[in-house]
Amino acid sequence: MGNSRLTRTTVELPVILLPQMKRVWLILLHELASQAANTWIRVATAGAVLLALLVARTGSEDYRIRYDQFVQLSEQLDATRTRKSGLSGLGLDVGLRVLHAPAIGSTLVRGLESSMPIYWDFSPSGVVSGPTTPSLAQDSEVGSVLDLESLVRTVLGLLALVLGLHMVAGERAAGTLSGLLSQPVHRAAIAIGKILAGALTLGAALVLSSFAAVGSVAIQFPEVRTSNNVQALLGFGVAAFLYLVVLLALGMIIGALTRAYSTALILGISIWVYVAFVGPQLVVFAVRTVAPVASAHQQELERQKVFDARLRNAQVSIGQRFPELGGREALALDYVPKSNVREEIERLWKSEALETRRIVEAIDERLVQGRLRQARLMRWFALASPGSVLLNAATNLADTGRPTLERWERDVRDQQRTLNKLLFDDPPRLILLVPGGSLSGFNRRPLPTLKTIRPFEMRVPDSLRRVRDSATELIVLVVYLLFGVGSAVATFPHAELAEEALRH
Amino acid sequence: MIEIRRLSKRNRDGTLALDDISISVRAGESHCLVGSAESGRPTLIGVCLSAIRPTSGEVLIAGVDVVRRPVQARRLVAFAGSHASLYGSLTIRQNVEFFTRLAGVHNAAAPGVVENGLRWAGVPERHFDVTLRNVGSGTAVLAWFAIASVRDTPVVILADPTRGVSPRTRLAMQDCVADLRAQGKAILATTTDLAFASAFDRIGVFHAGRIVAERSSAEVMNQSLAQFALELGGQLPLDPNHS
Repeated sequence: MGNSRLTRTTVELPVILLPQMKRVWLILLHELASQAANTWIRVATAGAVLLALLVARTGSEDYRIRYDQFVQLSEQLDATRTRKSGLSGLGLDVGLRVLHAPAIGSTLVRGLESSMPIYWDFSPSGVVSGPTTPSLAQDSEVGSVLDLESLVRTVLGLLALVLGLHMVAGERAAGTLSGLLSQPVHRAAIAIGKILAGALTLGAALVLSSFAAVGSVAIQFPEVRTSNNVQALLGFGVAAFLYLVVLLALGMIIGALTRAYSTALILGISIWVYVAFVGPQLVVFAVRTVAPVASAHQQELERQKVFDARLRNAQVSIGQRFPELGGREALALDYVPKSNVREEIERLWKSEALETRRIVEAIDERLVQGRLRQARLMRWFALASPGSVLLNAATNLADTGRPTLERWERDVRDQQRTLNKLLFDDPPRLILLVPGGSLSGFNRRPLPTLKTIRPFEMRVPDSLRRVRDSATELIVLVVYLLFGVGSAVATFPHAELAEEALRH
Repeated sequence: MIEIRRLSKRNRDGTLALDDISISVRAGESHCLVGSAESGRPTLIGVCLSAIRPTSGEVLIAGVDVVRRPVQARRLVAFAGSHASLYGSLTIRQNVEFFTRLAGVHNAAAPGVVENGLRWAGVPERHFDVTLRNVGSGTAVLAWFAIASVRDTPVVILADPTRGVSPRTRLAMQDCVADLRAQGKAILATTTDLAFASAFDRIGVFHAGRIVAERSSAEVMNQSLAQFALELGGQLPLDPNHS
């Protein structure tokens, strides 16, 4: 019995599925032809292409500003590094500065590029961030700048949602859905055919807009054409396509669950406003409220204050123990104290320096941990909105996202630790404050030069690394897609041959 | 061919859209239900096309239960609705080709098949390649009859096809109904058009979800249709353009 049932099922399945697949294909072709002939879809696609050219132009200009400044600062830095004088390790030295090279991906996806420092300096107290990058638009934290990502999220996102609405609610309002549903076609086949056609139309609009933007940027900046960037762009294309199909499915679900077209349209546009605008803003607002973190600048000021106070205390307390260092010309650097005095001063200094380092590093660590927590929350909160997921995926792939900022900050902190060991915690020159308020100091060892310090090297992430950075977002978009398409297919039968449709 | 047994459908608000309906239409028979849209007429068609799930009772199309095997049941039915349920952006020919191919008619694209269907339905040849939105609603509805002809199913269901059509087109539709019946098909129709209903073997008056009266065409011919409707059905709209 069991075998015969199995055989029957195995025979029946292709018999049922095969004709339905042919019908999916027919509906797909029909929908594609109808969408290609639709004036509104053409106008929206043409508008998206024009906007893509505009965002590419703005992005290129913005990048050029940052790049020109980077070149200028590089030249200044090179000039500084040719100087012969050594490093005293007593204060901030411009020669040690690390410049932030702008990412070419920012021409298309701005991300956090504009809120990153232009450079970082190294001081005995720790890293000192420079001013943020000049930009045509100041706040890009939540993608408020119009770039390729926000174009997809807003303009093409609206097209996807309205297309989804039109395919169900629009057809029901026009009366054509009743004709379609009266045919011997499984509703899932109709829904799948429509989704595939909608996805192809959106794919075409996405490809045209992306080609316009990427082509325009590639003409000005040939480095965009490197395989690394091309692969990252393909990754962005995949993320954007997934997002658009999610919105298409969402439009179909709304169309299926509402009776009147006007209600579907109002609901659809409200959801679009949430997904494309409010969602990403809400994520940032919620995270900043739940896990507030002081700005890097505030933290650096606090750390500097603590460091300066401890340094002065150490200079005074050690100076008071060795009054014999006073009474001579201040900072007579050729002066060499007696060996037992020198050993004692160095021992005391080292102990103070270690304690101070522990305290300032704890302040830094507090900021780092706070920011990491904020980034983690930001990533989790973002999952609640497909728009935020797309934003994160796109910025990570363009190398302008949070992982890039974290990577820069981590590498800069590592450089600071190296300099602490080489220079700041083992200073070649010691300065003390002896009674009477005069400065006194001596050289402990020959001053190192910039050439002896290992230059900073920023690891530029390859496309694989960028894809790995955005893997969670890509997986979440796939989950959104499966859930959205599944729901669109499941709810499609509710767009029944309702009485209203039959009254047409 | 069409067996409707003790069919009821309760609306969400608790009212009955269909109240214990039973109809039987055999091969070569035609049956027309006359009633307003509020009478439950569209709900009955919806159930027959497995678009609306009944609360109780059953509908069998050539022995196939429309609830349990909806796609197989629809395969046996050609549906003719209003002009609005066809695609206005397609030509008449494209509409017929699309819907017949969708229904699984493999030779729909073969030369002459669609044209013959359109000619049979009385669609003027000059309208074959005109977009649907540019022809009158009557001609557009005739395209549904052409689809029914090409599909050649044992059952044909017509939902208010004469709404807004000219008397001439109505006559063409009546010819189609007579021809389909002669071909041995079972035809079930709903309408508000009493003149159109006269082309059917049996006429039922549908009111408040129930069939309140039923006569054979011959019986009805012996009295005024309007009189019959008013006498047995109560408040029926006599204007065919009003649903």
